[in-house]
Parts: sequence; C-alpha cells; structure tokens
Amino acid sequence: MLKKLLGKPLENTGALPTRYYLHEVLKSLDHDNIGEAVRLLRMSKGAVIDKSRWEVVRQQIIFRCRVLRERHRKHINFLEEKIKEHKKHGKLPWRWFHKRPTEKLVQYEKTLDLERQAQDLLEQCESELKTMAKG
Amino acid sequence: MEGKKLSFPGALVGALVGLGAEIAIREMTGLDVIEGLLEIIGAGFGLIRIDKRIYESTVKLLKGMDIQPDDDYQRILRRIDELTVDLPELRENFLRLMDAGVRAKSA
Repeated sequence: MLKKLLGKPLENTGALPTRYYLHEVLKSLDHDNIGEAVRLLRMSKGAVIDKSRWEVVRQQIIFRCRVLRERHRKHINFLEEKIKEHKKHGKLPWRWFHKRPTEKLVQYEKTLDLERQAQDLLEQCESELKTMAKG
Repeated sequence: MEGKKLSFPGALVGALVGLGAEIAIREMTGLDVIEGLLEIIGAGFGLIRIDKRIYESTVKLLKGMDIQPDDDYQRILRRIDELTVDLPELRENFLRLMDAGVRAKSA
C-alpha cells in the first residue's frame, strides 16, 4: 500500500530506496522496456548495502540489450535479403503481374527502418549502462 | 477539550534541529541517518524480496536467450560467454543455474 501511495509520486525525485528502483527496473525488464529500465536505474542512488544487487541488475539489462540487438540484427539481415530479392526479380516481366509488388517493397523498407532504429536505441542504452557502472 | 494549535515556526525549528543532528551524526560517526531511515522504509515497502526477484529475472533472461532446440550444452555455454564477456557476476549466475539444471537432470 505504501508503495502504491508513495512510490509513483516520489519516483522521479530519486529519494526512494535503491530496492524500490531495482524492483521497478526488473518489472520494466520483464516487458522488454529497456528505455524505462535504464531511466529507473539512473534514478537509483545505489546504497552501499545494495551495491552488488544494483550491479547485477545493470548487467542483466546489458545482457537483454545484447540478446534483443542480436534478434534485430537477424531481422535486418532477413529484410535486406528480401528487399534485394524483390529488386532483382521485380524487373522480370513475369513479376509485373504480381499483386502490388511496390507496396510490399515499401513495407519491407519501413520495417527495416524501424528495426534499425530499435537496434540503434538498444546500442545507446547499452553504452549508457556501461558508463553508469558505479565504482 | 481544547484543540491543538500547529506552529509553523515550531515546525521549522524542529526541521532545522533534525537537519543539524543528521549532519552532526554524519560528521562524527560517518553514518548516514536519512539513508538508513530510507532503507528501513524500503523494507516496509515490502522490498525485502529483491534477491528472489533478481533470481527470477536471471532465469527469465536465460530462457529468453534464443536457444535452438538442437543446441547442446557446450554451444549454450559459448553463447553465454560471448554475451557476458564483460559481465562477470551475471556470467557466474548463469553458470550456476546451468550447473544446477544439469545436476537436477542427471539426478
């Protein structure tokens, strides 16, 4: 109850105990909300008693970033292959009669763009987490 | 019964005395009273189960590693090594989990 009452309003002040933030970070991590997890980890002061826990949680986010980046990289490779294939075969006469080839190509390119953006964001988060390590 | 009157200057003096005491204790003993109090509040928040929560998250991360059904133990270990090259504590936790899994399977 206390958590519900005081947690959210005081969250942005950074005054709450480290464990509160760690719980919230892990909750965000469960939903692959990496940006929010990084933000919350940044807010936490890192009390001495929770230093090792804080460090493990930081490493967990970095690890998840890497796994997700790898997944995005696979998607990007697949999409690039598809676009290349599409451009190559799209010029053949028998392909002219296929249903909406340009629409498909645009869709691939849009998805590719989103995948690249996601990968960049994850890369940024990872580098921020690396610099965040507390001595 | 007579109603109690709240004094603003009194509250201000109280706050200043508290702050002074906090600074004096910190200077003399090196202990951070406010941080300690916040830690106690943290325990009150029901946050004492953080270790269990971290363990659950570690298991979840290991499961979410895109492991193929035909991947063997060595390949998974190599994959963990690649991804945790600069994350020693997490690597250790993963290896402990893997060992526990193997031991449970062979038992």
